[in-house]
Amino acid sequence: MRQRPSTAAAVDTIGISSPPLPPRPGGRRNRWLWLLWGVLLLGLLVYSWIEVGGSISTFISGIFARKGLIRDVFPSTVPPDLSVLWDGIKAAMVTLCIAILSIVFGVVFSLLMLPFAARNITPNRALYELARLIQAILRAIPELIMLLIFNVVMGFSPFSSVLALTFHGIGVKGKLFAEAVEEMDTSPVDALRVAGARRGQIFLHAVLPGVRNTLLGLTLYRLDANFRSAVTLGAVGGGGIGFLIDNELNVFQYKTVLTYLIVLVVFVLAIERVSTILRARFT
Amino acid sequence: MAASPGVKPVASGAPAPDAPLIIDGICKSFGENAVLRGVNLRVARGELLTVLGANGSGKSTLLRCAIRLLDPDAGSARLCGKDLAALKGKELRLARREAAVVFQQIALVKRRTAFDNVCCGALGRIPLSRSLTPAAFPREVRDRAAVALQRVGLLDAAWQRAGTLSGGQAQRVAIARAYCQQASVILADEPVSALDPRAAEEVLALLADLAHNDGLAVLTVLHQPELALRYSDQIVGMTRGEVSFDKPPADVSGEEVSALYQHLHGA
Repeated sequence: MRQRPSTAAAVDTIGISSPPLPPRPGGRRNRWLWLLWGVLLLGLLVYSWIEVGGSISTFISGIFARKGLIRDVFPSTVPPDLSVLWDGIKAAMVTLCIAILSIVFGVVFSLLMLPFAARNITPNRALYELARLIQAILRAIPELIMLLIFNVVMGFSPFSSVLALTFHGIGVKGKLFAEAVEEMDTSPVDALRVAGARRGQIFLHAVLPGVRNTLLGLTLYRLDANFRSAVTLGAVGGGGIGFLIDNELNVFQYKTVLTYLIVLVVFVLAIERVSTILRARFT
Repeated sequence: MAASPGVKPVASGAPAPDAPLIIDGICKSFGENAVLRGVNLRVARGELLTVLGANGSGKSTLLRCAIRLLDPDAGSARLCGKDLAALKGKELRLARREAAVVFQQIALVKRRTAFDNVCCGALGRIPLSRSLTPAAFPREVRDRAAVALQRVGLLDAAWQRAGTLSGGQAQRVAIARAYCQQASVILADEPVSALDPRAAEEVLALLADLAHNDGLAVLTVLHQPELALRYSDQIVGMTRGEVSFDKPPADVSGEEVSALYQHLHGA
């Protein structure tokens, strides 16, 4: 009986009679569930705003007031102090070196863990869980905290930044690499296994060539992430251009800071560009 | 572990040099679902045996159990006289070298050249130190791979990346890899399902040729009865995990073939 009106309406809209749909599972209960989730999410947002001391007026005055960013800070940054340009470039090179070394070390260790960390090729379950646990822990400790720890035991230096980024990167890349292997087409792996190949041979001749491009892409993608992280680490004593920017901000040398920022932006954009071009070539 | 008693007379009485693959009473279930219910078959040297059956009749499971990519629940698969179910680790790895598998998905490493892919068939008999990169493969293996490529008529494509080959060419390269492995048995799991009719002909003709001229025992699972009837020496029909017939193609009637496919859908 209740289908009648809807069928009649369908004749009007599309000119033929449409069949009645089977009843939708869930129905009204689903809608209440969605409402509940919406309320929960909203509550979470409000709580977060209060917890961080969010304030629109603080933001407006920080940007627009007489002592704010636009009327006070910006005018005092121009013209940039170009006498420190070369220092900025040298410092950015240090930051780049940090990023490159940590990427390479991170890739090497991630590859060494890979035969155990991918579920579909691991020799046994316990080793898989162990490798994934190590990676999860390394990933859970932010680079910044790692740097602070290395600073305590080895002193402030760019090398501490390399170590911090390397270890955190093993956590990140190790997982990304393992997931790439878990998603690969494993039929070549089966083919070599039944040909009597050893685990090492299967890894070298079926797994690695199968995911090589994916891994290269992930590595290049992580390179510009690592560079930006290395800048941040510099500000807490990790060396490089981040260190210089932090120093000059502390003594209000905004013209110098602007030069360093320009160098920084140019480096980041250049690295992004190169990594995009290389990724396009490799995939 | 569960060495089936029914195997013994075969093993001791006739060491069966002429039947490198003997499947005896294999059963396999996935949960409640019994996929194989005591399947027996033997593939002789110089013979192309084809297994026909509807989807879900257990053909591919049978093939995977035969090489122990899956562990059967009961029964045994003897490969050149060795019961694979009783082996593990290194022994299993070495015993497996007697069988090469050709997959429906072709299973080549796409980024590597056809030649490097073919060489990889021999990995089971070369030490890790000589196989760190394809450049380190021993001379003997490289020569064997060239012979294999010539055998499948693709010597000219040696330096093409596997990913750039057509489906039929790629499957022939996969067969060359199996040939390079120097196995006694080739197991082919729906080797032509992804190929156009002409490429399918070529691949089956090649498999039949390897059986008849090189004396290999070839077992293939097919979905094309007409190809099977033309190229096989023996046809095994499977319905619901059991062998419904096992005879030369000349004795197989059209009704028997269509029954294979009706049975399942009628149920």
